[in-house]
Amino acid sequence: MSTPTHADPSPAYEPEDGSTTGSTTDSRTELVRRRQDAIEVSGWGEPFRFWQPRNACTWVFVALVVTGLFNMVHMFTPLAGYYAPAFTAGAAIAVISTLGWGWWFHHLDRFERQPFNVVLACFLWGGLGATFGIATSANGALGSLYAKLFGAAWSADWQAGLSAPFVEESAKAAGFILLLGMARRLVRTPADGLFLGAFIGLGFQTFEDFLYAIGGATGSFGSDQVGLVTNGIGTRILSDVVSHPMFSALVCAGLVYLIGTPAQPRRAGRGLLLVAAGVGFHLVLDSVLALGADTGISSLFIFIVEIAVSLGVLWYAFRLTDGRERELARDILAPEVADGVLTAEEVEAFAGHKQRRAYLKASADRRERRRRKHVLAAALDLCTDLADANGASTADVVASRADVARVRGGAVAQPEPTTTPA
Amino acid sequence: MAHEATAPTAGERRRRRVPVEERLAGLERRSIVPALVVVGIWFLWVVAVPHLDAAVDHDDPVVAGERFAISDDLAVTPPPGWDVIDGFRTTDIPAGGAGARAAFTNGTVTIIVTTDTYDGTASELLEQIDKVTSATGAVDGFTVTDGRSTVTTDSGLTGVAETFTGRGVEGTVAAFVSDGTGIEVSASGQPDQETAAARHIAHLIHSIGPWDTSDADQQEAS
Repeated sequence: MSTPTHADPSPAYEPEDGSTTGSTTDSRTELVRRRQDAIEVSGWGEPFRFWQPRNACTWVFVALVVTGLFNMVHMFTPLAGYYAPAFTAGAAIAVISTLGWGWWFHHLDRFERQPFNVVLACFLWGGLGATFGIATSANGALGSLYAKLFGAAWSADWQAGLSAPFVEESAKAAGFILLLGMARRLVRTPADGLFLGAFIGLGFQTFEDFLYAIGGATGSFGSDQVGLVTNGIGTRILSDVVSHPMFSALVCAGLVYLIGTPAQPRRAGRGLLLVAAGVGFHLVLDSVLALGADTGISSLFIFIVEIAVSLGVLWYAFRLTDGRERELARDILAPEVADGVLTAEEVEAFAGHKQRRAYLKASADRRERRRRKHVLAAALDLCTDLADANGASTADVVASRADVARVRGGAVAQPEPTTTPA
Repeated sequence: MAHEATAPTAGERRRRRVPVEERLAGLERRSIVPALVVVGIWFLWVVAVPHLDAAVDHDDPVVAGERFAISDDLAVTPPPGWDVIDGFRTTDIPAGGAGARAAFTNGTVTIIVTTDTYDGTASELLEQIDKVTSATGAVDGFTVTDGRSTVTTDSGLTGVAETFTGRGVEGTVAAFVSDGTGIEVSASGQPDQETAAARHIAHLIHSIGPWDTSDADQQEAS
């Protein structure tokens, strides 16, 4: 099997000679051309090579992650002996939380599942580069500066709100900027920003939670370390998503709009709004007590409003970035309608939530509805395989087409075997 | 039909290589700007801000009569003229509460007062403090130098105290437990300096006692 590459996006399908009319052939050729454009512009299926010695971003990434690792080891080593039970409990909780949230983010990322090595790079940047490489020293220095300039009580009220959002959001966004430089052909859509930002935030949150857990274990003079680590852990894990993953998702999606990519023309206003939303929600969340005291409004009320508004904005951003992905998916799948693999109605269901709902609502009964859901899921798999194959009919693509037919309960039309792009 | 794993062709390997006209000093030209942006972020937060913080003098001396909260209902009176490193005056409590730590220094000796929940006696608390200090290396070469003594504060709270030495330092640590709240007072400095400050340290320890939260309320109202 020849390996399809994105460097040479030649058409995957040859016009079928003799079997179609001239206009149908032209129409199909146009659909295939649009498919190739969509694959090329989206970067879907593009592999990620981490080690790029000629890429300056790779070196900065490695330097800061290694620095962060060194700082973390330096910070924890003196405590590791006595607080070993707390370290074990904290690490176990961190792993469970990471796997849970990581799986959920991966599930939400439907159209283009990010390659594992990109996700891992994001997580490591968030956990080591951003947290221990930049944020811990910067937060401390900025907090100390505020205390010297404005007094201890003022600093205690506002230090977190006026340091963490700026230090931590820029530190996390720095990792996304590096990934934009390391995976230019892969990281292109606002949805890439949203999901990779969420994974950077998850890394930051996981290591920050671990840091807090060890800090908490030193409470009560170190006499109840495991109890203090596990106390309230459920609340902390559940609240994690309305924290760093969300802030970074908004900031990184905003950066894609702000910078512009081949898949997403620059929209500076929208980008600035999303970046400001991520930083602003972080600021409010870290200043809830001070805001409550200064305004006379209940801190709990401010907290609840913050959570509700931020989740609403996150959902809006998800829908916003989802739109571009849907356009690309439809372009990739459109030739499958001409080939009889999918129906126009099925591809149209990828246009938006409304269209998907309408397609599912048209089911005669529950069984039919479930079948339609399966067809859409199989079509998504086909879309992924087509992107991976650069539009060619590879074994995976053929199998995915067969799977669409299987879940629909009928035979499938396979296009004529074609030469894969060289 | 199974996939066949194939090695990348020479052409594919060439395509992975950065074209010569897109290089600068051997690096891919387009990767330099994002790398520099991130180095700029790192420089701002890890170099510039800490340097700025170090350049700003810390000047917050204790004024005679000032008390510092060490919990929501306990406070200490540090020696006048000593610099406040950490902690809140009972007249200026932040929205998040009084906090659980206060620290003061005269430049050579540092006194740190820490409170937290503790379910035990003052003697047990002092044992726990010794155990953690030894295990974590918080004081290098930590060695308790003599037996424990009983300390009673002006408010009638009774605790225990001991002296210790470490590499280049000596100090005093005292422990109290008041209604489920453990209190640790740790004073340390260079050997001769710590002895010279003994009177001030004892003064602070004896000052541990309740504080009137209406002080803070009145301050807020005004």
